[in-house]
Amino acid sequence: MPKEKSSGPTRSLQTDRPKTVEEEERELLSTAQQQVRPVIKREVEGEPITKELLNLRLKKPR
Amino acid sequence: MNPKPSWDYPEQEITAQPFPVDLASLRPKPPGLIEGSWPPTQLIYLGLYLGKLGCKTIVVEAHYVDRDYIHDHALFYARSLRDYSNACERWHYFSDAITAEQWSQRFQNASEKTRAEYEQQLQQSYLGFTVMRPLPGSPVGRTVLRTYGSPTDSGDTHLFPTVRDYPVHLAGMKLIVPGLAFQQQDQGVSACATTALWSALQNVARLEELHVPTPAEITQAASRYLLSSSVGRALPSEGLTIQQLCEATRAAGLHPLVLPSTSVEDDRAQILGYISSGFAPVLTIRPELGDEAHAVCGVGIKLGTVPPQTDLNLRFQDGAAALRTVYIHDDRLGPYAAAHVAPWTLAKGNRIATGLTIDWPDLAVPAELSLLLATIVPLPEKLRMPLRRVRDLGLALAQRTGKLLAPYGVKVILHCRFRTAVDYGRAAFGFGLTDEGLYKLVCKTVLSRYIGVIELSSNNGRLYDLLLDATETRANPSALAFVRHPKFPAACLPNLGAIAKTFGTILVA
Repeated sequence: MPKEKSSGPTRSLQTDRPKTVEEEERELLSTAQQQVRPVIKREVEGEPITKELLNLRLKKPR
Repeated sequence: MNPKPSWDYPEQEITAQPFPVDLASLRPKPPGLIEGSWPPTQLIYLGLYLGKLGCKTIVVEAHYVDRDYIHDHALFYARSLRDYSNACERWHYFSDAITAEQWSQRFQNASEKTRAEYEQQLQQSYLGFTVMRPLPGSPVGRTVLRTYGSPTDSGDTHLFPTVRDYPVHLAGMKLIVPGLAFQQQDQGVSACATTALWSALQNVARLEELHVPTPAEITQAASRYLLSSSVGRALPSEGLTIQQLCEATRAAGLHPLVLPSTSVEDDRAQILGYISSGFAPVLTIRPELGDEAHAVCGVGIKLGTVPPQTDLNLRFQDGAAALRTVYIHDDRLGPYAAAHVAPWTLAKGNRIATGLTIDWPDLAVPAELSLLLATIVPLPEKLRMPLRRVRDLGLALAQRTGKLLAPYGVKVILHCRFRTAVDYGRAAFGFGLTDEGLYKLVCKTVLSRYIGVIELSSNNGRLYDLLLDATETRANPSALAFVRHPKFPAACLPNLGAIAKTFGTILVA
């Protein structure tokens, strides 16, 4: 059987090997993180802790 | 002529009487012009609340030395011209009808056996107590009452995770009341912020075995280095700033976490998460029609059903969206007042803020809408990881799990909170783990004192938990264990094991 052309045995092994469940889950978790990023951004984009807030006096309003 | 000095000991009398329709009728109206109204709203509120709990009898203890009031007295009232007593009355509430004769007969021909029987009988119907201070305008002192039962008439769930047990000694008997202490501000030693923080510290200080500071100690600690910018002096108290609240929290041995209001979703998640964890937050609010800010203490929550996800890109439901109402100690009203949470569009800037609508008991006063400004949570020193970081990780995990379990028709619901390792370990015996799994979790896994818990569940029950080391500052590299519950599909266990490996931790099944 004639030898197939390849760039090298090591590279061929890396590309052909099926992904392990762990590798797949790592990728899928990474995708999930990207998908929820807008939610995180929306939730935490708000007022910073300002001096005005810290010096706000709390007393009975009525 | 001045009265002769008296060295007599005070007299005690403990009597039972039917719970009156008007609780304020037990308290004489003070002479002179009263600032505000009489009876105080707090007394009206207490009467209405106890009526809802089914109170039928009030036992009045005529002489009671209250630790919180006597500190206020020593710091402030002892140096007044008026001769304020250093003792209070204490009112005990029972759901059983007990006449004055029945009460006194219990102490006749008594024995240790009859005492134990009577103690048990009283315990079953005990609803709590109020310390009535000898202050004309602000009589309602330390008050600990039972909470509402659960579920509600509408099918919603009440939860009060911040309550603790208070031992009570009455006429030779020891009773226990679960609740969280409330008191009215006296405007001498304490303002609303003082009493809100005092309530917030009650449970977390017990968890950390710390001394719970009295209102007098809170006011002193708050103004030791920081003076109020508007009035300068600390006493009479004209209110505290948020910075002073933080200072008083630090003086109590705890760490204040200040969370400015960001969005309704985040505010719901933070308030629900911290209250579910047993940490009562101070909520700073501003009435929509007012300029002054106010402080209340978040004590409990009312949860409805978890609404469906509205974002089409997300594959899970947010458990925090089920938060309908926060039960608050509002010192203008009383304990466990309902504050309904809803988005509120501000006229200025077209921004959506978090609105809290507080129901007042008397119909003459309409429900008050306030806007949430910030949440301050007194936390133990070793709880460094903020809930927001736990939630950020929880969102990603819920999204991945939602996709993983979609083929099985399982809808994933996300909840985040903190628990103590001790509580979690005890609860683990009821998780339905395998023998190996339980042994691995409770005998072979080291947990931090407080753990961040990402709980993923479905409508049928819990799926799995991720436990995070709360002494860490970043959620991601601090996974301690994944704990699988029986409702998680067995077919997906290899995936869960792989997710656990990705987090560098173990899977307990």
